[in-house]
Amino acid sequence: MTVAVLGKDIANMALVGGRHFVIISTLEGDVVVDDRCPHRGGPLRLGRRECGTGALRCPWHATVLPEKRLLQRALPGVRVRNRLHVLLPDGEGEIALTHGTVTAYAADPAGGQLLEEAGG
Amino acid sequence: MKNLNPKNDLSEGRYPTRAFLAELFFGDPLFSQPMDLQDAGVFRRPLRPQDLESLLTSPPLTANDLDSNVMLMAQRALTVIYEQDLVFLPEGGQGDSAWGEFQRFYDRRLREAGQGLRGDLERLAFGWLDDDVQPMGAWTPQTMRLYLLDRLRQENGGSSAVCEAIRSARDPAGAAQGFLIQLSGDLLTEASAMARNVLGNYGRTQSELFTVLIDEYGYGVHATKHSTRFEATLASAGLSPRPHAYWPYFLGSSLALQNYWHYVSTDHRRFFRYLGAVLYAEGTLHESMRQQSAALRAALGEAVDTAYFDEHAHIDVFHAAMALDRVIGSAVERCGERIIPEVVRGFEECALLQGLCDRDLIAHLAWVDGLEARVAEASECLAAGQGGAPAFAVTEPQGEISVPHCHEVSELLVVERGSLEIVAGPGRAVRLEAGQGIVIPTRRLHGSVVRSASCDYRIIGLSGDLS
Repeated sequence: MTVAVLGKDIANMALVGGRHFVIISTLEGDVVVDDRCPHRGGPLRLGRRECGTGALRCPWHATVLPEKRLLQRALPGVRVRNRLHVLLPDGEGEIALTHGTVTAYAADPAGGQLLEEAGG
Repeated sequence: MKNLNPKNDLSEGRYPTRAFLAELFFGDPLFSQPMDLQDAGVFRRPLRPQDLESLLTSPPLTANDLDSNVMLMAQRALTVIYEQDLVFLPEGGQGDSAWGEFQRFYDRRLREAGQGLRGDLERLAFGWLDDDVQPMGAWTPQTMRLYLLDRLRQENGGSSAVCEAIRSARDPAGAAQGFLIQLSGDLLTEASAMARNVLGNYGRTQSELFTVLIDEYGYGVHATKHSTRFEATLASAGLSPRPHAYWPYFLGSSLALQNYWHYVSTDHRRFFRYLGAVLYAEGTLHESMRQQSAALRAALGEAVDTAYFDEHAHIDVFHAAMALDRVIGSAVERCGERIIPEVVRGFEECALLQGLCDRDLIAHLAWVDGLEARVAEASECLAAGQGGAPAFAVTEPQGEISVPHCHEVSELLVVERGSLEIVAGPGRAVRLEAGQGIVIPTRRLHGSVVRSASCDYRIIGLSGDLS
């Protein structure tokens, strides 16, 4: 396992053995989570955050991950100013730090009632 | 001791205002305007009470303020407050004044005033760490261990920027002395903060930590006590080995680094942060001190005594393993996984602080190394007509001292009449005569001494309003 340094202005995701780990904003600060939605594997980085609650809605099936769930899924690490030192899991091949589109930073101004909580 | 207003006297049981405590503390004769900038003993520590207003009205400081004058004031005061818990003794040959200073330094009311200020000063000087360093995610003992080991590997990679600054200085020997001076505030009382953490009763962790402590203290053999070894380094480099002999010249960042250990050790809720910080220190010192030892020999010659640094290069490999496996490991076993976020927080706080302090130290060494160039720069400013800009005019009598401090703007200081010495470190000064000036960069430590019957000089703000 390796500690990688991520930041929204440098590399906002890491690719480890074909899996993406991406910076997601929460009300308690930024965290790094597995990009796959626990429902059907949708890309959480392209989801929307709900105003007020900080919950994240997956773009594939509108599955909702409450903020508490996101925090539980966060990789162990430490935010140091605008950098995130995170312990990445082992995976085959080289670790690649990349920068890509993430819509899950901004809260969804449309708000709206969340329909369901994410399943396992 | 200053006469106390009965309405505010702590002994009356009334709650004094912060401003009252600050005036009492900063205004104490031990901490007031000195007669000169020489070593006046461990108890005399000028705090620049004339700047108190800026401290009392300061907004919260951030990581970017580590080199500011308010940070310097806060850290100077915190050093005094923390060290009123440590033992310094008057020496027999120092006469009655040292005995009186000893009595005054540990005076009950002065200590109570300091303790009354401590919380506010800590929030001002260290509160930003709570915002800037935040653990996240779910931790286990295994992920904590893997995280810390990999972070140590990262921190130990590459060469030391501070050592490079010493080597590349115009005057490497002076830079090496300047580096040792900044270390001396901490290293001459080394492990004193650690001693705060070995009292009480908390199982095996306590005994493991105690083993590290007694090693720092040389197992009772004075010659092998780490601070004794560092005294030998100072003496061999032509510097005073007396504690705080260079008090006016300590950077706020250097003091922050030493005060951090007291900050996490006086409030035992921060004990687990302390453990993480100890691991950072023990796990990186062996590499940094190996490089520092080589840089000191290159700058000061082979006669410099580097035993202190060489000892750490050896023993801290052992201490790091001990801190991780036995001290932190046993603490997790005893207290559970809930302490892990605090351990990694302490590790990263110490890493962040060390990096910021190194950056400030490098800037300081460059400023001191280039004083003459700053005089030449002032000549260019004057030739370009900048001397005619609105200025703050000062007239001071012979011997007038300005205790080292710094400003929020870069300044052009021009002597109109008389002679003024600008001091950036012990023995590191330039003397300006009428018509000469110097550019003092933003937040660079400097003081002054009037060397003529009186001196008129003007200060022009180059990067903003002087107020």
